[in-house]
Amino acid sequence: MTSIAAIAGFHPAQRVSISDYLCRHGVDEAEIKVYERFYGFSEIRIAEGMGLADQMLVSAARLADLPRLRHRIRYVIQARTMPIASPYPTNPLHTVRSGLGLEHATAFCLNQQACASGLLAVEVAGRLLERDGDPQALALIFVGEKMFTSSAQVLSFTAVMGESTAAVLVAPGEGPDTVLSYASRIYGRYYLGPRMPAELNNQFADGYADALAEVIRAAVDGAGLTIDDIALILPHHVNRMSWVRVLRRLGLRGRDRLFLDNLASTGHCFAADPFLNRETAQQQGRLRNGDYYVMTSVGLGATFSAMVLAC
Amino acid sequence: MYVTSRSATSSQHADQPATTALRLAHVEHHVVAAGRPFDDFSRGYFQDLWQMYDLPWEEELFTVERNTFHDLVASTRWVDAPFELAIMASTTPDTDPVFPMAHLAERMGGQAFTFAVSDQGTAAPFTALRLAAESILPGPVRRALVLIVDQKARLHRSAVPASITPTVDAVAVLVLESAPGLDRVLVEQATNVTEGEVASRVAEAVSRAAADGGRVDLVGSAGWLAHGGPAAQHARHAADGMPCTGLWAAFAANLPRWRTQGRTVLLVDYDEVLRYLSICRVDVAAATRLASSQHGFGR
Repeated sequence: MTSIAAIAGFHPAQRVSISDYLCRHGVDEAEIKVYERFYGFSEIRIAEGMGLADQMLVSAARLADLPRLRHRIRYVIQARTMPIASPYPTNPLHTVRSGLGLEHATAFCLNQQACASGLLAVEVAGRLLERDGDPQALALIFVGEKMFTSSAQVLSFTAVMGESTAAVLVAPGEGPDTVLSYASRIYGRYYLGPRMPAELNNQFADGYADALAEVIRAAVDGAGLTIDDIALILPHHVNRMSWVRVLRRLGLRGRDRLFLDNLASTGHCFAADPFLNRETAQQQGRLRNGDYYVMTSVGLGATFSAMVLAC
Repeated sequence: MYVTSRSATSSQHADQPATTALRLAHVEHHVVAAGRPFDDFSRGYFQDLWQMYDLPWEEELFTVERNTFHDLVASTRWVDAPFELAIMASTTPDTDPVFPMAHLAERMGGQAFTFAVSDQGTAAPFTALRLAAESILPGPVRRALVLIVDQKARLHRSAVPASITPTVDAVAVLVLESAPGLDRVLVEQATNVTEGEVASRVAEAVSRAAADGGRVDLVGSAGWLAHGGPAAQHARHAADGMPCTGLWAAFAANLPRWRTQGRTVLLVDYDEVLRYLSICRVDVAAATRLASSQHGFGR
């Protein structure tokens, strides 16, 4: 088994209103209103003047027990959305590994599942730790990135990106947040991502809710639960309207079990959304011991993933 | 769909043997010629990335024809084969910001689980191979594909160490199967290994392999040759300019000879920049033993 031992989010201080941000990107006023009123976005956080390595280091520094646990960290994994994030051989991940005094750890990046790479990283880290057989060993995962180019800034009619990030500690065995199941499906016809022709974009949009509901159901089934057992869904931050369709397909009425509290203030933070939501839900007391919850992610390409965990 | 269940999760460790679950069924390596130009989207993407890293934009570097990872993956004959798992590994990043492994999943029938390992220098292929060969991922994985790529395009003029600079576009294909009798694969990786430690650590690995009986041959990367030297009588080295695929090119070239009587082969790489020492032991089955095993995929 695998568990999430700790999550530390980093929300950069600089807040930018969606209205100003989209206006600067040439989005017209009518469309901006759609992003605000219907999609639910209000502002994003930008880590101005910080590089990717800086964001990762600050996230890790917020893990209160990191100095004490440093020697137990065996893997450092960046779960990355952007296919290319630095000029070769610049390597922010290994800069972070050194900066944290983790040269003893194996560090690598998991990618090609875009924003779904975060849940993939939890799965892979858990399996590696389990196979290694050391119950004390840990993996440190980084989620969240820089929005340096247009395709990483606004997903048309879907989301506005943000630069909040998170560091996640994964442990083998049962813990406070034990992984019960993971489901993932790749629809590779959408591999061009932001370069998809309009026809494929429409197909993707049409099939989105069914595909996401399918992996959520599969993960819930895999956990031996029903959707009624799920206390909270911790989503990736795409437009609020799309979640109405997903909830309907899951047979859920209302949005009381969908955690959208961060969406308005953070935007879509690459692979970090469900982890940031877990941290906030904890702070708000929205999850109690014994509760089951679902994390979701959809990555460009397109990968649909869901993970069920038990508090 | 890739799904783990509560019962499978809890029983995974107990069910899996300590040794590798998937074995090496086929290895091939090829260099890919030609290529295609950058399009405006890619050019814009790199302009933005270069700006973030304060790199000067040199348009002429983006007028060359290059093979993207998508091209390299598509150049293999395995893209339409029925694999459950496929992992790509590289040291260089792609030159096109798309998702070729997602496309590969579609080509494989839509049920394959695919992703990539990167940003680990020349150790990345070893990590990918470990993830595939040790059946670390649960589920009914009977066939896995590891695609290792080298891409030569130079997109800036900042210095890159020669040992990690590809000079060709190349792909190595490793087919893994669960059939018995195929070549056993075992991956070891050590971190923070200093240059002075390389030779002794490789010698230890050779001794361990030799203790199991039989002759041990080595295939070493440029990084190992520079810092470790030949620790066995029978050492070959990977060609320069293929930091990720070169070891497997040398392995594939020598495999028919090793196959005649069976051989233990260690593929050794030392990434002098990131200080990973990676060793992959392949127990090459003798042809006679192989012929009697049950398999029919990949050879």
